[in-house]
Amino acid sequence: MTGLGFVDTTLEVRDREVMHAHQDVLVIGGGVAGLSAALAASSRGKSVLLVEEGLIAEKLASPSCHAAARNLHARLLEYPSASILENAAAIGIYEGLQVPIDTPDRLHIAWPTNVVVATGAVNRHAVFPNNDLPGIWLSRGAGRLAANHGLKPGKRAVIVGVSGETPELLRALDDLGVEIAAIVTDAAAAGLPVAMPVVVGKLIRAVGRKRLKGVTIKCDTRVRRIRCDALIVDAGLEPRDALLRHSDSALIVGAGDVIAPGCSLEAAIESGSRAGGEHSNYEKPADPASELGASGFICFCEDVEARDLVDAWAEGFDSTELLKRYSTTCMGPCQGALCHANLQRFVRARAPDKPSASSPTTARPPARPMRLEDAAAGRRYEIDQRTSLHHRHLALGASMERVGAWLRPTSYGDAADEYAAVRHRVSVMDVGTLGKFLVGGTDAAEFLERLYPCRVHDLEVGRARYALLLNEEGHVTDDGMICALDRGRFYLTFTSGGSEHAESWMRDWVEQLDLNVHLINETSARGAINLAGPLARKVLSRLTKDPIDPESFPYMRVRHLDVAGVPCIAIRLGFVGELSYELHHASGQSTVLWDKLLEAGASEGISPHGLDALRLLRLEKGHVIIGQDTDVDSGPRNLGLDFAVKLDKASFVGRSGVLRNLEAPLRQRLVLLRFDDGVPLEGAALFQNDQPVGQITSARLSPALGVGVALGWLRGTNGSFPDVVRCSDGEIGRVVSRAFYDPDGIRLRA
Amino acid sequence: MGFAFVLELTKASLHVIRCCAQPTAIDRLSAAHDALARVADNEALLLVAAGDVRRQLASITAEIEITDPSAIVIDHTDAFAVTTLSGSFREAMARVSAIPVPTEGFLQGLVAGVPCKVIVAPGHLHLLAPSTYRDHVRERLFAACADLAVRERSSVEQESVESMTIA
Repeated sequence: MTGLGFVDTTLEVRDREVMHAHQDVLVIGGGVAGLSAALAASSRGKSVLLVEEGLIAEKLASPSCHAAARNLHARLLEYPSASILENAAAIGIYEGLQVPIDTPDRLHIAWPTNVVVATGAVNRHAVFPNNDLPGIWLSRGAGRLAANHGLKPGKRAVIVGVSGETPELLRALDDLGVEIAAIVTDAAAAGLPVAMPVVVGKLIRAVGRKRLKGVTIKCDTRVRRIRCDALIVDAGLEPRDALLRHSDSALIVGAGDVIAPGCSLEAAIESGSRAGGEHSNYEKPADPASELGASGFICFCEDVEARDLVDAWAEGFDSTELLKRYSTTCMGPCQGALCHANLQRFVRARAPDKPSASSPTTARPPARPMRLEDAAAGRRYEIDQRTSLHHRHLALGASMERVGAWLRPTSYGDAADEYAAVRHRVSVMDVGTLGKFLVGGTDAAEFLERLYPCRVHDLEVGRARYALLLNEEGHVTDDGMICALDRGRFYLTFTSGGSEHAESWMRDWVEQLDLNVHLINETSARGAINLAGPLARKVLSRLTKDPIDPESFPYMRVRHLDVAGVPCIAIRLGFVGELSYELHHASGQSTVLWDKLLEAGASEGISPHGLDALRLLRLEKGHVIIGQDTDVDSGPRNLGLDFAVKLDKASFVGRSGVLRNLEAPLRQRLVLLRFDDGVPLEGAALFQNDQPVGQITSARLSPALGVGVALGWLRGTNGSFPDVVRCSDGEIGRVVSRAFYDPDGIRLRA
Repeated sequence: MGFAFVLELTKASLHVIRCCAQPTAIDRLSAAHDALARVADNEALLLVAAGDVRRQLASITAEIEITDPSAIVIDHTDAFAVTTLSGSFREAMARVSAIPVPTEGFLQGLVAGVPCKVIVAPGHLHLLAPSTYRDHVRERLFAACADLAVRERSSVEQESVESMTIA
């Protein structure tokens, strides 16, 4: 990346884990003020987490500060409630208060009550021609290099600007034998050694091509050139306040240099102690008036020069926010740490009477670059929802697929035989993924009556009814069964993956209607196995003594059955179009029931079937899968499911929407299509006279009919719909009015 | 040198009784049972030892039906995968959940991205995850707590939890 080095393409993306921290106080910054704040908070009995992006006190250049920091650090370690993280960089302060902290081994997420920001200050970055030449140093950087690491910033140095930190800098440079060519100040400087070559003047430019060769200084009317290989600039300090500016919450306060740049050691300790104690609001110190050079780099990260801002200003970008967006100043990796103050200064110089124009740009987290792997830390995994039979499926060689959060068997290896087992023998399917609810309470029937579009009051104990779930607009959101149990209770089922929505939907309505209803989500608690096929009754009769003959237990009935010692709620229905018993039971007993059913049906050639077979079986019956065959605005009328809506009921959720839809002409409807010359692709467009009129939602080759069968949407004109359509691949489809397989439902009622 | 485990996971043999009733009935039940976890105004969970479930079911049902005859009290054990975390369980929770773990008490929230219920007692913690997420939560605990040297124990008979106080 230009100016920012190379991207290491060999780096592996790591699975980063997280660690949540719940200390009372988070202190960001391990300098004198931060340590003082942590100590004060600890002494008040607060738990404290102190984070430092490097090592504790590592960035302090002065020996006196080091000594004070060591003392504070040692005292802090005596508190067991205080934790310290080094090499830990706070990324931002998010609402909540939530502070992600990047460390080498994992991402920490702190949830403190209070935050103390003690991130210090950095030297102001001076703008002058050639200010990007190697050999130009910020004074604190040069001081740390010399005092902490014993390295010379150069052999012959010019120092521009004098502050309270200059004497210690000079001592450190002197210890290493660095020659001081000049100390340039704009006024007479006090407190410097007498022998120092102090020059009253102004820095005009740095000189050199690939590295610094010297500087040009203006003294009164004269211009002097001074030879040097190091230029150390002290143009004042800028607070590192990006984190402070992330929030104006009173729970976040600053301490030390970040609120009082250049404060004394004593002031830093006092400030930290106050911040870790009672807390005080942060107010950014007034910016000292200082001149900004007309030439030179403003933003090193984004290569923005002063002249670029001049041009932008001339084009009408006349505020910090506009200039930032136009020029990308402050938008690089340092996020304005070095250039933000200069951007403000630039605007203030041009619009001194309009303070709002030069106000700080909005600081948003993150305050520093973060890796995508950190954004995904602790959540780079998929959450699998599995039934109790998951490992049975794997043992049988099933290929699994994700349906919502559920992992379900697609097939056990031979989908055609699985289909045949259901149609001609007997089969089992794990339908434990269905949403399952127990509803009770004195108003249970009333509640369901007002929730569902079908009738509920006339549902006698032991009966089951197919039901649609509608939203207020009258559109179908889910479907399932209502089963009337004894004691005024009901057992409801919904589609796989529909339970979470159904639960929140029902709980909202219970509250809205103010009814005495008890609702229990049984989806995890109950497994369900569908025993289906013409021999299902024969197999089931081997495992239960309860009567299951057609008279005792007919279609659309629900019974308590004891199957192989497992108490079950058994429902007679027929999604696959055959005699079926859906056995709902305690999920802890799923494996027992599954094994017993397979064992009891072995002589009948029982085998499990997966989703591949199921999708074909139900399609031959013309049964709709909500979500696959429906859209968000599909109504019962479009789907041909009007029978499940009783408009003579006084009230139910979605009634007015259904009535409104009935008044409008029917624009599209879901139809059954028969393709004699092939099977269209799911999603394929449908045409009539070369005009698009709809699309396929489900399609399969039907073994029972030997032709392609499909469900699809057709658009009509003035209530008239095409009877014959052509698929985009050329197949001709004919609309049929009845289910392809067993249209009279004789088999499933057997 | 032996392997020093830090976090121990035990599949608990506790049973979970779920009570759904009018809030006043749950209020009365809460007053009578220290070990009742109030999950909602009109809903509570009670953890009981395996051998005690029938007696407790009958007793709670009789008790709650005095105030709300339509109440539902069921053994809902199969709805949950109950794991007891001992040893460095606080450190483990910090790795899989943003929920602050109190010294003692009941709380609910996301653990490993899954809505769970947590009961904290001195020295250990019961984690109740929906049973359909059993494998996921276990896998996450092992992955996120790899640095804690996780040891897994098979189910052990729990002592009575009647004495456990859930704030």
